[in-house]
Amino acid sequence: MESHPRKIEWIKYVVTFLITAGLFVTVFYISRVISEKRVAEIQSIQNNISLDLLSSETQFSLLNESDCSQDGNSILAPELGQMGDRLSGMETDLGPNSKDVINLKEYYSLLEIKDYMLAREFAQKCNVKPITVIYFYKNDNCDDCTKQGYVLTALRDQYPTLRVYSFDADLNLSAIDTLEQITHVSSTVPTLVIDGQVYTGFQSIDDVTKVLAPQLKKLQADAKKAAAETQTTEVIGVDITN
Amino acid sequence: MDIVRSIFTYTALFLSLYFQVFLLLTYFGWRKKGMEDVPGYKSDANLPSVSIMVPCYNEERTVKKTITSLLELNYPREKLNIIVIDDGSKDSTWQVVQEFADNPSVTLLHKENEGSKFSALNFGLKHVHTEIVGCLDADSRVDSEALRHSVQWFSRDDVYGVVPSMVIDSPKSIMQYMQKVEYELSTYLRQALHRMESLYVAPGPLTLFRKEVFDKLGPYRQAHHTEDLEIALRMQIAGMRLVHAQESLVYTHGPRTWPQLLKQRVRWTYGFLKNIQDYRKYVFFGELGDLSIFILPLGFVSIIISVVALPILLINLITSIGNEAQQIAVSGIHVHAPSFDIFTIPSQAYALLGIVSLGILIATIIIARKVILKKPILSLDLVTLIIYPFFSGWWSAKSLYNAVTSKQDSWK
Repeated sequence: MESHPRKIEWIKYVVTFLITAGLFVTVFYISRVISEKRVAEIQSIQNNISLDLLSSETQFSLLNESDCSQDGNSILAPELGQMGDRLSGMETDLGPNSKDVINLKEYYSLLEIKDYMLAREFAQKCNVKPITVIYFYKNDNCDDCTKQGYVLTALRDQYPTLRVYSFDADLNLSAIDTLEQITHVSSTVPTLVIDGQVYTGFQSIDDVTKVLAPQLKKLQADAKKAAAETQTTEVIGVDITN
Repeated sequence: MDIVRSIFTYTALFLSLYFQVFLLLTYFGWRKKGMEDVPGYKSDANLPSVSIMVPCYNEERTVKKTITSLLELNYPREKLNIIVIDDGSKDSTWQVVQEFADNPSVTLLHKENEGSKFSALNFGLKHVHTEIVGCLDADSRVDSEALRHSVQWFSRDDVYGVVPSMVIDSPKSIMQYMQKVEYELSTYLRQALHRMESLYVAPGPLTLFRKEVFDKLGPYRQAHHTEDLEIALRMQIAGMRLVHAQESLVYTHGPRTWPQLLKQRVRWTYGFLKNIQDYRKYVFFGELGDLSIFILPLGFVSIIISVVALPILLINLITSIGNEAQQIAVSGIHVHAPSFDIFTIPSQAYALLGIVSLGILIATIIIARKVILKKPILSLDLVTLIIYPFFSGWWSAKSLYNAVTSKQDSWK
């Protein structure tokens, strides 16, 4: 049977290709712009934190002894936790091997260590117990680290003033190695250091809450007091004694 | 994302976007010449006489509704002949249709079942004496204006077949709601294919043909239980124009359960694969224009993409559910307040391309629902689009396996 030859409008195929390719190029460009903006935003936050820390440190040194009526948390960099979340998001997007991510993480780790030292100094001078958790993890082949991350995120959601310092043990940073030595941490992950005590392996939310119970109670009471003072109806935390 | 998965994802996204852009360009003006609107018949006296065949196999529950809807068509009664063909039903179909035995517009025929619908249609064709002939599955019903809309196209001498718009009738199950959305979107696809002169299926529900098509090309063929696809390909090869009457509405009952839907879709997809194998000389380098170089090859490629995407989608779904479950197990349920900043916008290129593709899909929904079907754009059933790729991947995989091993399921 005779077929019915039809003219093919090749120009339509070419135009479609150009539009589709244009969409691809635009999308890849936007993707790059967003990533660069994120890196710039994180760098900006890091600069702020760095400045905050330097300022607190200087203030601390100048006064020689701090005003111990001041809340310890207020002298520390409050954006540190938020930045950790953002960095973790970037790590998921760009991959843990991204050069940008590694650089930012290294700088972030140094800021964390500095913040931690300042908190310790404040605690010693004012004779208070720091409410901090040092957390060593790895990204590869560590399911327990993922679970531990969920636990610590949940605790920080409940107690916004609880400071969690997270360190990627795979990061090639001598300061982290030194911190591991000082805190007597082995190479096993996940590892938590709470009040000088080392806890190796996954610690459930109940385990961590039990260890931190006295401090968390205080945090909760402080939060309630602050909430009452500002006459807000916001409820922070839950009763951990139950 | 490893390199192989990246290559597949971006290739699939490029092809998908290319197809979407191509259809939009076609719909908004870049159409074949000669596919413009139809002049129509000047008066009812000029309308052609039409026979509509209703093949039935165990349709005791729906056949009465189907015949009644045909008798209610707004069409001159003396120009309409309904031919009911009981294809050896084992239920009471034959008894049910006796109700119409005395109706002068209805002819009742009975034959032994031969295991395929095409034989019932060919049996009915022998009793057709009108200029136009069509078919209506016994699980479908027609809008009262459908025939009049479709027939207008035959006022053009170069039109040999007219395909209607199909809509799922009274959906009740999730599977039927999913098909409802799919059928609505397919009205847009069908209209775009019409504008490209590339319709390659003449579906059972109320596709009309000039009787001349069968006189010249021969009767329906078994065609791997997809005689509606094969006859359309034969028409395209013979240069017999097949068009889509978008206002012509036919309501059909989609399979209610997943096993029923799977069986239907495996038959369709298997039939498509086998028919393009039979007509392979018209694929890629054939003389059927866009149909040869684009639509048929892409149909095959889309089946492959569905199959490869299925395990990737399943792994992603299971991983996400696993992570959520693990998070809830170790730390309870935490609801975070939504925030919008540079960190909440997806930045991966594939996610952004997915958003572009979704945007075009929304445009498609607007065209299909608002412009073609004159329905509200938004409805809850649109959520079924999320689960559709999982099911289509499944039936594509089974069809591909059957096609490779030449394992054919029964047609009903």
